[in-house]
Amino acid sequence: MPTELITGNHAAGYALSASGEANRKARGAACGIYPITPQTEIVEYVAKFPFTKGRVVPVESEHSAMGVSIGASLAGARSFTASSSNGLAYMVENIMVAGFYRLPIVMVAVNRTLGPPWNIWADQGDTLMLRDFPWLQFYCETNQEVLDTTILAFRLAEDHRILLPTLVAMDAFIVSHTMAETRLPEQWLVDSYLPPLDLPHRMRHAHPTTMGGLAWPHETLSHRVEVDEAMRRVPTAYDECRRLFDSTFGRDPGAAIQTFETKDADSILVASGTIATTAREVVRRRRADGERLGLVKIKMFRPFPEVEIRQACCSASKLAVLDRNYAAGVGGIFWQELRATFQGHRDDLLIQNYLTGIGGGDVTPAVVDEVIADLALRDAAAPPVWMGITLGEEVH
Amino acid sequence: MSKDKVGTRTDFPPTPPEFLPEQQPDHPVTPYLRMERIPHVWCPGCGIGTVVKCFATALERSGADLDKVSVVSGIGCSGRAAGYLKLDGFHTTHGRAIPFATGLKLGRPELEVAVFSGDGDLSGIGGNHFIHAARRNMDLLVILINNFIYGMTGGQNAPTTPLTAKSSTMPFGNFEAPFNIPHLAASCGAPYVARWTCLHIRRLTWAMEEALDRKGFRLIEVIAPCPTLYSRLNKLGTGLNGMRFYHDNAEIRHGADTRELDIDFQKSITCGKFVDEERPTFLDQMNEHYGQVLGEKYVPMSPEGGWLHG
Repeated sequence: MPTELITGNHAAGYALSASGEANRKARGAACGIYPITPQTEIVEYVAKFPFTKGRVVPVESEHSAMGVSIGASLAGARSFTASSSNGLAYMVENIMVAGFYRLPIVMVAVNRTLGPPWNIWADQGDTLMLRDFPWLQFYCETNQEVLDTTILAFRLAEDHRILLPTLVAMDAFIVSHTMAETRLPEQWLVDSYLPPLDLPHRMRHAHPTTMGGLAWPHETLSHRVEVDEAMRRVPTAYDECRRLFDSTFGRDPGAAIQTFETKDADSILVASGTIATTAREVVRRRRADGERLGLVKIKMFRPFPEVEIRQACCSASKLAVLDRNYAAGVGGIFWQELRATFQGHRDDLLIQNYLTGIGGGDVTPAVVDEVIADLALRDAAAPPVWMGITLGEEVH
Repeated sequence: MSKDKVGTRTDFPPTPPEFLPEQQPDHPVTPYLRMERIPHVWCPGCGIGTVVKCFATALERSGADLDKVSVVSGIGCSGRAAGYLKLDGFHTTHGRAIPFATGLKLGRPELEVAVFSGDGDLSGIGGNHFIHAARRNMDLLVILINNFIYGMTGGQNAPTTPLTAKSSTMPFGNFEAPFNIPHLAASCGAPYVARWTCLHIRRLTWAMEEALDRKGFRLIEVIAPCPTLYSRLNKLGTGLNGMRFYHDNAEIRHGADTRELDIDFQKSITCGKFVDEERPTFLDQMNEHYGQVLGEKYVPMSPEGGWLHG
């Protein structure tokens, strides 16, 4: 397995292309693509890939890109696309359709701040806007994790117990444009991990069907219940896909939540994406000084791994949730999920929210130290704390 | 200046006259630009700056009240124009400059609303709005800068990319038929349709001046070089090569049949004014229709506007 120095976008493009190519003995790969900074290199990689069967279409908008991917998936092709920020916002209608059609489409999203004002830097507000859709969501912190999770996502999404589209997210520029050593699996390995796509409800001449017709309330209700049941099967299926990934490629793509020094931790930081990388180093340093600190990195956001998080935080009395996203009028979105997770289970737990790196600001070790210092002084939770506000600075 | 031909000149490129900083004369269109935002982001050899300069000159010549002119742009290289022009306006979402501008025009009918954006924005992701604004003859001046590619994101295939031209998402050459933009606008009913290249500075400025004087959906397509992406991917040389190409291959045919205005890869580009007629605008039709149906109950917005805040 060759190791190359590549960017996060290159890793995602490689994973999507190799996974699409792995379906060449069935209906091949097909999808629609549309550029948007900072994910454009992903779709360019896919556009240049010499698929044995199937092609990509450079369509006229993100909305159409997902539309083409939906059509291709219903026809039995392995289908995928990539987008970011306002592109995802424009794609929203069809993103929802892909989920409710139960299509195993994989989308790589590069987290970029939603405009206006126009801003191309990292912020998770774009993919978290899709949190109530029937999509699985994974947040990655390294190029290797992006590559592995994307390949795994196809197997998970295409599992007949699941059949839901999957979103793999990475931070803009910090991952998408930063080069790191990444192991690229050969095609035959990807072929052995991803069997040909067998979509049970694909279009067939022998059984003509019309997808997405008008339904009565009770029919819609049962449809939603089926989605909910599929979502509940995800943790088991994910662990199976992960174990098989490990035995095929010799690497663990990572658990739904990844804990670091949480066993006897009194205060635990909760983070996702690249903030987790920084926070882990801060915890490592402060542990050496004898502080009882820990870190929970949340990789799987949908379905939300409530049970695992409650288990990981059983020794803690305080949680600091670092959110690189902001739900207007509420606060951090991960923080809301954390509060819901512990409600009725650990009402004594202090869960404090810190809004860090909003709009792409740097979350440095010093920022994480500030969070830890602030948390130590609190004995009751307060409204979310905005980090990085420079008072007196004129805003342009 | 020497009368010798360029090829034999010894003082080429000519040395610019030296000024002390306080003597440095302002560029003639400085009053129309937000100088604090200059230098702009456009690459050397790009044509968009030329179009902005022509627009500013046309505004100056037309004597328009700048408080009554607004510029709306979408996303992309051309979309940056709204930020550099010292006029009220906004930089909208991708492809939506025309709907935003429509709302602005309906809310303030006295404004001259110009839409300044690129081919990918106006004919790609925003193509639907383009045809409907032309159909309802919305009172907008649309300046569509066509560089045959998505420039800002790095050279992807656009709905205007000529057949066989290479782009980053069509690395083996484009096989999709591109839009003929003037024909698209004319077939939807646009009453003023013209096309020029960045080389036709005077003609383009006149066209803009003339279009500012007309009403309804006015389209000016401007062909512009993109040396960084389109020219590089297709090995067409620098911006200067682009200008030479326009010089040798642009053909002026006023009133040409818009069906014949397709642009083939590195073939001739037909320029000129193709449509210039009068047709009632959306506001004219709306006022007339409601006036007939509702009679005195209908109070049209004053064409002078300003009934709220002046």
